[in-house]
Amino acid sequence: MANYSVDPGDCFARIAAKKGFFNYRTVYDHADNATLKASRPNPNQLVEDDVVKIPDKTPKTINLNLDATKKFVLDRRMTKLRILLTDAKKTALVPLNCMMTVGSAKYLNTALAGGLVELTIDPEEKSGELVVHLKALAAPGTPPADPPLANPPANPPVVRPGEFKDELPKPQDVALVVTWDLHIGSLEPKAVVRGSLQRLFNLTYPTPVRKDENDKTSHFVKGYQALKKAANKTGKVADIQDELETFHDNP
Amino acid sequence: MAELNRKAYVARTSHDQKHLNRLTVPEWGVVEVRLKKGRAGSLSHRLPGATTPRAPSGAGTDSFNFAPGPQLDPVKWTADTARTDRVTVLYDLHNPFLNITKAKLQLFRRFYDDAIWERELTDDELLDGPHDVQFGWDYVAGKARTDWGGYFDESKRFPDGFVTVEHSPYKLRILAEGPGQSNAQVAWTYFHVLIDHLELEWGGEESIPSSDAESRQPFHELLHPRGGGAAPVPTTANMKIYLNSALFGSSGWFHDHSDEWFDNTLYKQYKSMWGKGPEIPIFCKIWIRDSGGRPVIAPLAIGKTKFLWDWESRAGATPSAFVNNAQNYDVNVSQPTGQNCHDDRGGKRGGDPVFPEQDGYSARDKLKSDDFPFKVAADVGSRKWAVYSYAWREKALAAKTGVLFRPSRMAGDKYRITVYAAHETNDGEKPRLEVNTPAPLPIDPSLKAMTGDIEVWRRVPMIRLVKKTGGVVNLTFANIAVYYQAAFLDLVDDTGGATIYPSGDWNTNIADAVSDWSSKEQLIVDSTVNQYTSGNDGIFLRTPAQFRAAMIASGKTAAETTTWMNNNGMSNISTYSKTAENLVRPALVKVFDKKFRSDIPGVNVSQVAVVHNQVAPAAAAGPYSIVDGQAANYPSADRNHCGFLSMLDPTQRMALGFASTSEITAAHEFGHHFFMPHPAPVNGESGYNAHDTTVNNCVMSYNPGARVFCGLCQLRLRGWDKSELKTTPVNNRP
Repeated sequence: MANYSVDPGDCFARIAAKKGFFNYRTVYDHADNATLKASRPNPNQLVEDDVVKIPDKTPKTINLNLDATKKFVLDRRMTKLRILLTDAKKTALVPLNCMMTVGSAKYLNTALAGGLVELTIDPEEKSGELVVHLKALAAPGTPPADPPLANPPANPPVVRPGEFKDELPKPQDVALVVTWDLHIGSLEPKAVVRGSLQRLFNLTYPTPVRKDENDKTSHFVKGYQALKKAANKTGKVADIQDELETFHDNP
Repeated sequence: MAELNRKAYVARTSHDQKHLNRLTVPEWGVVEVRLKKGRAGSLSHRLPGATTPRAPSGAGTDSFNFAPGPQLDPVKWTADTARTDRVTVLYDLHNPFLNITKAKLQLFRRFYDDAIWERELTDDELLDGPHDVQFGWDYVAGKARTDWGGYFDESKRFPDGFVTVEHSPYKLRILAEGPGQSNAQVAWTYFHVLIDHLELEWGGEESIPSSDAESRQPFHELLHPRGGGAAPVPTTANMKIYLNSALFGSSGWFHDHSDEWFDNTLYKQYKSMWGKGPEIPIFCKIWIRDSGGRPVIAPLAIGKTKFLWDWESRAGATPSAFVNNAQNYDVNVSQPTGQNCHDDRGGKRGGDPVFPEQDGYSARDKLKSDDFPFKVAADVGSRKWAVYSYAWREKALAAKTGVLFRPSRMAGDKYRITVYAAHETNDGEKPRLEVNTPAPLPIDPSLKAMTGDIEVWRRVPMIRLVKKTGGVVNLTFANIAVYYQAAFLDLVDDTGGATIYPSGDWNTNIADAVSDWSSKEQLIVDSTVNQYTSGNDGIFLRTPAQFRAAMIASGKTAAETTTWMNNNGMSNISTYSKTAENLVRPALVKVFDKKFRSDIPGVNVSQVAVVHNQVAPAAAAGPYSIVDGQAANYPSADRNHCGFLSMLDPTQRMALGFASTSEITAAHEFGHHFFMPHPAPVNGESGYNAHDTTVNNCVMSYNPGARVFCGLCQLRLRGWDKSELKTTPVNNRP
């Protein structure tokens, strides 16, 4: 039995593949990993420096008859990368097209429905790219013309918006291309601070992703609490980690 | 096309797992911003087509207003902290992922692109959802509040740091920035700070720069009406202000002529006395409208708002064509137009300011004496005759402004004053009311306040009536005064009733006066007769026969006596009486002069029933004309005191069958004291150049019919410059 120290991007699927196991369960379910398994209920979310026990391979002897045919079934399980594109209300995005590349695996969809991008990948791949073309927002319309100038003006006068000369922001009416640099296998469990911060980051909160909390992270935790209409905005990761995991990891 | 590069931390999903990685793109927007007070509030706006998952509430209106700042108790005029009209500034951000990197709350006024104030929202204020803006720096120090009293930290254009009427309406907006796409980057709302109404009131007498009582008399009497009663309020429909002006021709003239009747002495004297006119402080309370639509006193909401004071010439047509033509001089050309006395005629229409500029002084609890408190500036563009005033925002006159109204001294001029809130502009700079079109200026009725008509009158008091006895029937002063009303001259009875000449004094003073006569003339009086108890007539004389007997008794022969009487106008009862009149009148003047009142300016009236006791037999003997009254040269008279001697009371006039009335005689004789001559030709004089030549029934004539002062007399009595007036109506209008 060998110890394996988890590197960034590792998960049981990747570790098992690297170590020549076709089914991660061989490693994950091994009795020597029971403690780790208890703390990492999701086998695809480990923390750097977690120690995984790599079981010794057990030779298996099979007698083969000459001039006979023997059928072997290789129990190799597929690993996927599943990404759900939605807005804050979990409404699926409807991009013009969507392309994901992980190693040699590619996903292309010009009519993505339901927002789910799913691709079978080599579990050893640690990076990929997702490019989504979003359609442009509708350009804001032209403000209506001012009402005629009354003479005399009433009290209060009818507001004539055109008399206010403040500069309005330019309309953001062009298409947006969002490119994600995918750090595959790097999402950590909810139980660690960084895991929750990573999830917030994926939701576009511009939070720093770090091992511990500080004032900055607290602000973004509060932001999530505001979104969820929490009565008490504590700013503590512990107070959102369960709900956040559900929001981020579940359909 | 815009690009956005992001990083994502994703987990693989093993064959028997179902988890996924939710990725989102930045989404954000400003849902709304609005002010709210109770059920009222302002309406939030966004650019058409702007969208956020949460829609704006759609509540409120664009006419929402509130009353910024502390308020006063409107009765006590002291600060009342219980009265406030604080509003809540609400906004709602769609910011589920805190993608708004920066957002500003900004306040704008019309016509300018720069924000007059802005504040960046703090981290907590950027959280997703609705917020109340916190105002930790509001005027209640030391306590962050979620309601807003209108204060913000700008002091250049907002002297107290509050939003004010001056720059209303306002636009409050939130502008947000962030990555990705949003078409709801901005939302805004409009709100107003409104004047509810303006209320005029009189200022205090201490606001009059002139400290002497005479200068303050017109205003004092306005506030304290003669005869008691309540003072009018500025909006009273018709008001009169009276300028005491007991000005009389100098002594030393005789009945038929005085140079001062024909020159411009009256104008000059009156000008010297009243100069640029009386001073009437008019103040204006400025009521602010609160969010509930109620008027409140919120001084700091006024700011540097300008208040335009305008006046209208309201003198109207009179029955005199002469007067009308004179009043119509430049009637439609002057600024302002109208029929008040023109500057070229001594008035102020088209000339001297009716609202003189004032420096004002800083707000204080106790007002200065003899100093006008408010700043008044004559910088109303083309409206040269108007001024701007500015309000006090604290202390004794908080929420008030005012002007010193200085009408011309010309009697008959009539003014209506309007104060306008002049903050409204079409370009952010020039007040919309800075035009020279005739009043009224177009404005919402709530933004102006108007006085009633204020008419200038001269006032000449009759200060003493002395009668020989109680049996002398009083002149009816009202019937004298009525003639002068056409000239807006109030001949007011301040005598307090008749004074009866003491009998002992009378006899002594008659004896003294008679002693001035020649020895022969003295014989027409029987020195043994008690002059006082003999009756109501001026002096009791011997009959012609008794005089003749006295002459003979004095040593003259009968023939000498006859010759002397014939040569001295005593040939018959008529001539005897007339000759005696000429002796008695100056004697009576001398006697009444002993009781002449000169401690205050005005007219002394002296009365006997008939000048002497021989008038009756003379009148009975045939046609007889009598000098029934005289604008006499009392020795005690001067420029401010004069005397009138009435020598035929109303009862005796009727008894003796004389035409006319004692009052028209008095009016005529007063006229002489008031610088008015006879119209030509009278008593052989002509070319007086001092009357309207197109009428012949001037009070100053002897026309036996109904008489009124001619137009030229009226205008002179009103104080107009005689040197600028012609004697024919048509020549008085260009």
